[in-house]
Amino acid sequence: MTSKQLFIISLVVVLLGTSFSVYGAPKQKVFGATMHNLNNPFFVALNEGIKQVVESRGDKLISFDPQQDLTRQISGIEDFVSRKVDAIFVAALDWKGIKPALETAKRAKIPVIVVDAPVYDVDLVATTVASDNWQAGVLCAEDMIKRTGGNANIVILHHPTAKSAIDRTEGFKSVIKKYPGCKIIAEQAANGQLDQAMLVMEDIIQAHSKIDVVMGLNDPTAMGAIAALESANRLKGVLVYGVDGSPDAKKMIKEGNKLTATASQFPSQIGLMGAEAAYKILAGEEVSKDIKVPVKLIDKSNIDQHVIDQFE
Amino acid sequence: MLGFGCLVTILLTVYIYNSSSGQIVLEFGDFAGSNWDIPNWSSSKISDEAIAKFEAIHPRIKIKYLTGIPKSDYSEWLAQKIIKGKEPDVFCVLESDFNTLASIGILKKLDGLIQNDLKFEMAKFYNNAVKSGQFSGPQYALAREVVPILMFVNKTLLTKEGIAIPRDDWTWDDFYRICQKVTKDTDGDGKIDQFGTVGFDWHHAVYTNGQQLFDPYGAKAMFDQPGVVEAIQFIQKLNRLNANIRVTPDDYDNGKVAFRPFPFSAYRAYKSYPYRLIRYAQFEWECVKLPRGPRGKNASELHSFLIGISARTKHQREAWEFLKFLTYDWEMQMNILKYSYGIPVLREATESIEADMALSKYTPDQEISVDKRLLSQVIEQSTVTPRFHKYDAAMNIADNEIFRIINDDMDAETALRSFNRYLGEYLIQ
Repeated sequence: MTSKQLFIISLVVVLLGTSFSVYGAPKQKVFGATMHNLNNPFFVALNEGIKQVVESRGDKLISFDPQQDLTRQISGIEDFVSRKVDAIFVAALDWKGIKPALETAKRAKIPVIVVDAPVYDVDLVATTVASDNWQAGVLCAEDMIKRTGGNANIVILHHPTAKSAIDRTEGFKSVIKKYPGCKIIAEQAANGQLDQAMLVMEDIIQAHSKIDVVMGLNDPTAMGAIAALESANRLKGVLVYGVDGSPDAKKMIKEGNKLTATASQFPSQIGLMGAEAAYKILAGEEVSKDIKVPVKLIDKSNIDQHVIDQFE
Repeated sequence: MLGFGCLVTILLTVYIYNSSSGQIVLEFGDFAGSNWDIPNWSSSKISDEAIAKFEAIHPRIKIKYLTGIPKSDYSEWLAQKIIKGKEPDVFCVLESDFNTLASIGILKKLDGLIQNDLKFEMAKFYNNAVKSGQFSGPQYALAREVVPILMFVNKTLLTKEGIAIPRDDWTWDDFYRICQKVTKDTDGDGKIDQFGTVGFDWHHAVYTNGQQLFDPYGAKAMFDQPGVVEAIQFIQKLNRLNANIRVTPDDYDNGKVAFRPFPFSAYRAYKSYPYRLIRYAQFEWECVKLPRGPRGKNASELHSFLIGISARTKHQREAWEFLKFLTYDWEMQMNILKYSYGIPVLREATESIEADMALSKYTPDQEISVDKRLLSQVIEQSTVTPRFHKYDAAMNIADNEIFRIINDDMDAETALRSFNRYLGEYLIQ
């Protein structure tokens, strides 16, 4: 390397305000994290929760945003493996499809800590830290039954490959199946994305003249459904449920009647617990294979007991 | 032995095939998410579609798309790649990194490629979009999309106060008069709780007064110019209306402020479904051009999404073809309207009928909420800040000092004269 090249490199590093941390200090631990989509505030909060623990120990977190694409998520994990990170945090976009990446990490003896969205091949991962997603669906359904008396035309917007969403949907269905007056008139994939939920809901609105309830797999999905209903002037009288407890959802509950309720999760806590589990695993300590974080229903009746402008 | 022979045969076949097909792999580096810091669930679609279409047109070229790094980590990722001599052939350049990357020779000068390409007309770009990719003269990057700053107006608040929405040619005096009228204590508790503006800072004042803070090459600071002094004095005057109460963006979000400058991307995102549900849903709002100072126009700073070519690429011709495709192809430019919240850099694309449809999609009653000619005018009247090596550092120093001048309500003329001398010395060090 010429002195000119060295000079250029020094300038790049200093002037772009970066450091050699990833490849530098030998004792520094480096972690990789890949969620579904960092445009979703839930995953931002989860990622930050991990980062908080990692950076408080002087270590480094590399985040990779697959932007809702499984192939990209697998490549991202493979890249983490090639960088020889110490551990990998994964919220799997596809609970079965993620298997090749988990196998790659396993072969490289890099522990995988699953956060939020569980995987099918649990023997390939060190632990799973996730919300009680089944219960989130149950809470929404029970609230809906109270409000409708068990008679409703229901739309379910789900994410058929993410286990977190599958459990929420199944939890919801486990309650409503006891009520013959509850009819699922449409069940379609929105994949947890606000824009996609709006487009899917637009089609459902066209096809169904009477919609009483929408169960969204997360808050962005619920908001996408509300956007479609409102822009079609069909929102009035429709109960809309989400899952996350995001600041936007809580604000919407507090300010009006658009969102009925959200089953609140605690993404920062999931991140913190996941990161602490990772350090224990690296230290050779025993960690439970399945760590569940409770959820809580937030609606108009208890919204004032909650912090609005951030995840709890 | 037989196995070894097979392996050699396979390798030879692969080599011959690749040599004869002449396939070239170009790396393209991009960050994940929106450049404009607003929620965008389809930001990667622009690149995904561009790559698919480009590869179909150029079967000999394969694009290896390097994405997934969040915007906040992108500078470090790129710097690490440069350190290892492995930066992508074509890559997105954050505005805050452009000066550094151009000054140290990592970005390829594009002037020769532009001049030799008879199918490429730079005149089709907005002039300011072209300027945003220039560094001390030469072209080092092309803009794919741009975003000017506009003024968000709380219509509900103005209507309540019996004030009409300002016209697009309004002045600082009009702005001040309205701010003065709406700043008041509305609940009778003795404290001001309704305000004129938040976020209209000294930069907006300087640019709407038609001023530049440095010469184009960064050799001279111009903070002592009368137009800059006027701008700082105007901000001091506006601040006095608030009687030392700190106005926050939350106050605007809660409907307590009449005006707030925002990038056009925020207007596009939050004016239409689905994001209009999330922000500013509790009051009616619109956007107008920024108010102009006595020496300026109704426009402030222009922001750009830039893409450049590595000076060390081994595939210069192919990299240029791809860069040209990303920034100059009609369909790709229309995809800016479809998937991003920026504005195409090709004037014809922005002013097209297709743009009408894209801009009015998901606004209530399909209203065309943006006057495209006005938009073009704002883009061309906006300020592209000078591009030189010390620009960002100099602006950081200026931000701190001018904050002090405004906060302490110092005599702006004297303080700026002194500061300009200091900054001038810093620039020539």
